Amino acid sequence: MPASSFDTFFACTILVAAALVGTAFLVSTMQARIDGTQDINKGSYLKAIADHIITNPGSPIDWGISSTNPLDFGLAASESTAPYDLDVDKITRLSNLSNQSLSTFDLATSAKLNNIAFGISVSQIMTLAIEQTSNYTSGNEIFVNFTVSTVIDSKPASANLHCYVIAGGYVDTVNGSSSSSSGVSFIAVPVHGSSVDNALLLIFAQASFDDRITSYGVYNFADSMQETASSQRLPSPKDFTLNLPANISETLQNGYAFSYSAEQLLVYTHGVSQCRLPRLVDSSPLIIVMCGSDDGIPFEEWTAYPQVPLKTGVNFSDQEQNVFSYIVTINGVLYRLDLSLGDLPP
Amino acid sequence: MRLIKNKKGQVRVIEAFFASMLLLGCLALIPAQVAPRSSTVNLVWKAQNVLFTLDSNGHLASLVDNRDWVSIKQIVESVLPLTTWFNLTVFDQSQNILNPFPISNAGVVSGNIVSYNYVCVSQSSTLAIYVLQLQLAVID
Repeated sequence: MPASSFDTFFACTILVAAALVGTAFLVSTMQARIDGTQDINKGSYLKAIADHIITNPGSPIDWGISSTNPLDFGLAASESTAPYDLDVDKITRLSNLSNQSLSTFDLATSAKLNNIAFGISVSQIMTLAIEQTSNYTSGNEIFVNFTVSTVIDSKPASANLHCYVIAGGYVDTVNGSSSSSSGVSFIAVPVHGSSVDNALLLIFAQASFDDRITSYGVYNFADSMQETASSQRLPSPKDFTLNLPANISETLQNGYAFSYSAEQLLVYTHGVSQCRLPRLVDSSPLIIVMCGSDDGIPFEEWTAYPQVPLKTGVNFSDQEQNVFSYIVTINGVLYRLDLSLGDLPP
Repeated sequence: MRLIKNKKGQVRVIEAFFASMLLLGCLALIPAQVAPRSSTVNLVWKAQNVLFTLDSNGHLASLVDNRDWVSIKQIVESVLPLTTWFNLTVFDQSQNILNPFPISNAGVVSGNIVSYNYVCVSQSSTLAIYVLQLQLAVID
């Protein structure tokens, strides 16, 4: 074999080897890029779905106050021109405490997301932690001391508090106190000794730097704990109307609507199943408390409008979850909304 | 002896070596041309959402009118996650910076910083136009 042929064979071998190595390298590199592009495409696709749900009023545009399921799912307020402004009744229908609550299946069907897992959670920007510290008796009244902590995203937040005590059919307002920069306030609440077992303490907290960050917390004296959800017996309002079930309307005596800066006695006719709610002007969630007597035992039932915090949809415990977090306004109050979507079908 | 003297094939070996180096070099450059990462895109969306929502009913513009930089900082800080760095700069129509100190929750961060510009109009009688530049980054 001539030496030149040997050299040529050697050179060709190097070229082929380099080509093979290069091809393998190219395949792995391109695969990584294709995967990256697919991830971006998937993220953009899911984000577009989330945006559509948040910025579109759906169809019919007033499905929040109707009793039928929406044909097209969207949460935006129909009369609003501002983006990320959501409809209070559409949000309320997501709660399982609503009479016309949308099930997970209804959500998927109306959003046309039959192949993608879908869930929504709405929470208050500022959270309240109410803790009873001590109490003392003075005459006929018991003064209960509370520590109230206001936190935004795990950080203490300065806030002004307005507190209402509802017990035995009467309402007492506790002067608002401003929590310090540590986010902790101390309040003393007077309650009639005879009513302390069925009293409710309702606290509104408004961030000192923006009145649109207003949150509420409810403390139940009977259980000596802060309640995390409203009463099961009282359904969520719809279109500023409270529809009372027959088993409770007979036992009710009066009702109140509360916001951060206002309280109003509800015009309620005994035995009537509907009760109109006032449209209070301040930026605040609305809390409705109905007082009644059941076999001589007084009780208070409450509900929130909008029904926040809430969580609905699929449980993503063991599957891929793509969370799109939004800051939204509902009736002029800021909330955090997390919209979760699952993986795309193959 | 004849193999040692015959050096014609060595040129081809050197050619092949250089060709393969050129090929590998070109391939090595490919990953440098990557598309924007999804986290960066998400930050732009987040900046847009925050500014649009906070300025509902001209609220941000009125805070700028009042030169209430502390409240602006507090409200932006309250709606962004703790792990997100931000720096907000407010410009007037002539691109002059209005805020006398940085509206930010931290110093300097490493990593990708995205920037989003938002134009808002004062609803007061002066009808001032402001440009709010919100820079965001994820703190590692």
